[in-house]
Amino acid sequence: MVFNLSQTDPRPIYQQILDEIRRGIVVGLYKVGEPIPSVRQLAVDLKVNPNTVAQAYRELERLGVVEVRRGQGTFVSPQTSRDSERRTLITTLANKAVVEAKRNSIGLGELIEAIRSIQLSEESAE
Amino acid sequence: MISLLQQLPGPLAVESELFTKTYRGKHAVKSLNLTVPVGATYVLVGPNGSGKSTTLKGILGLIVPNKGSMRVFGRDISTAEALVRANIGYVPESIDWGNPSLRADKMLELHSALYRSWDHSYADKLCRVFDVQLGKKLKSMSKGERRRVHLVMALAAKPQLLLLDEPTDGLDPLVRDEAIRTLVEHIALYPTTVVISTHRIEEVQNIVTHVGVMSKGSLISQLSAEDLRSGLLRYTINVPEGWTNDINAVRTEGIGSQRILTVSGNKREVVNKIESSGAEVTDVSSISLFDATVSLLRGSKND
Repeated sequence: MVFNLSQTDPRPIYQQILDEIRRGIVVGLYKVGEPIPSVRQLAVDLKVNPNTVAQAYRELERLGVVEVRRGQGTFVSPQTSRDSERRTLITTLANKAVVEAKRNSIGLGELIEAIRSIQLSEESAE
Repeated sequence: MISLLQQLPGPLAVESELFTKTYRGKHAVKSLNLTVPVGATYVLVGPNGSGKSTTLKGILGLIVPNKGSMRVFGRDISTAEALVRANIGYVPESIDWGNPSLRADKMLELHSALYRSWDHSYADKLCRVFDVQLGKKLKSMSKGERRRVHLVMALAAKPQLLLLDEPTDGLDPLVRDEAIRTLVEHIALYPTTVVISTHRIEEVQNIVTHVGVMSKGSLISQLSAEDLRSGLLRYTINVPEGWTNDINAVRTEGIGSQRILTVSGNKREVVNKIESSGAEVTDVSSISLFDATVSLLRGSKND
């Protein structure tokens, strides 16, 4: 998985990092109970200010998605469920699509119809 | 409404008050009220000759102002110069700094004696990262090689304040990337306030926490990077014929009926203002720090 950070995304950078970690849990890059990269490592890899990464990690901790074990690092919390993270991701994606549709004066019905027709054409291609 | 020129809240690592320097009657920098919070990574952007290097030299106490003051970690640079400078690491824009007939290892050795906080094993590591040829004389080094020596000198002292004047200038793309990563790692490992002047803001746009924009010796903008990103938006609008407005856009692009306005302020208020002028908003988008600073500089040009 490649972290997707964009300057033209209206979300603050720390929020983008937070969302990408959650996406990492959904796609199986970070497993429940296992560690996520250290603040320093992720900051260097992404070329992001370490304080911004730390802010994302603090927020993830507050949300209960990760937990900090002193001297050991940051782990995906055992209470985190990949399914519920997945549902969060789906809602986020749907939200994005709805916002984009609204911005372009496209009705909800038209959007859903378009998504269905994409799915149908993908199925027939397989 | 977010102001584009703010006095940033403390505690402050650098605070200048009406700092002014003239050379032969011409302003190099004019009435600077620079505020750099402790722990910030502050980027100074602006065209050549806008006063960025003079500002960094002012922080270091290398130039004496005609008017105004400069405080570093609460101490006035004019009365506590040596004390302040012992806490500052500096990568100068000019690579002729230092004695050119010295070998790199001798230069580092001399430099290390000046800093109580010098970390020898970190210096060795940095020399390997930047591939510094220790036995080579500075005068026979390329611009990029000397820049790398200066980076080692600045970082290995682990100063509280790092002043980097175009630190990646003259470096090839790979080394540039390595330098940025090394800087990020340095910030993660050691508590450091960084002031960096650069033409390549795109290289550091996710690293900087605060932005200062300079034009013709003046600081025209100063605010946090997130304030700049959320407070300066780009509005695509359709305008009626003969459209006039009092929107006070930082920048206006486009011709005919479609215009793109870069406007600072609350999104809803700006949209209301545009709509009450008779225009229709078709899109609102965020812009990168790079585009934001370009817009601010273009806007100041038209003044």
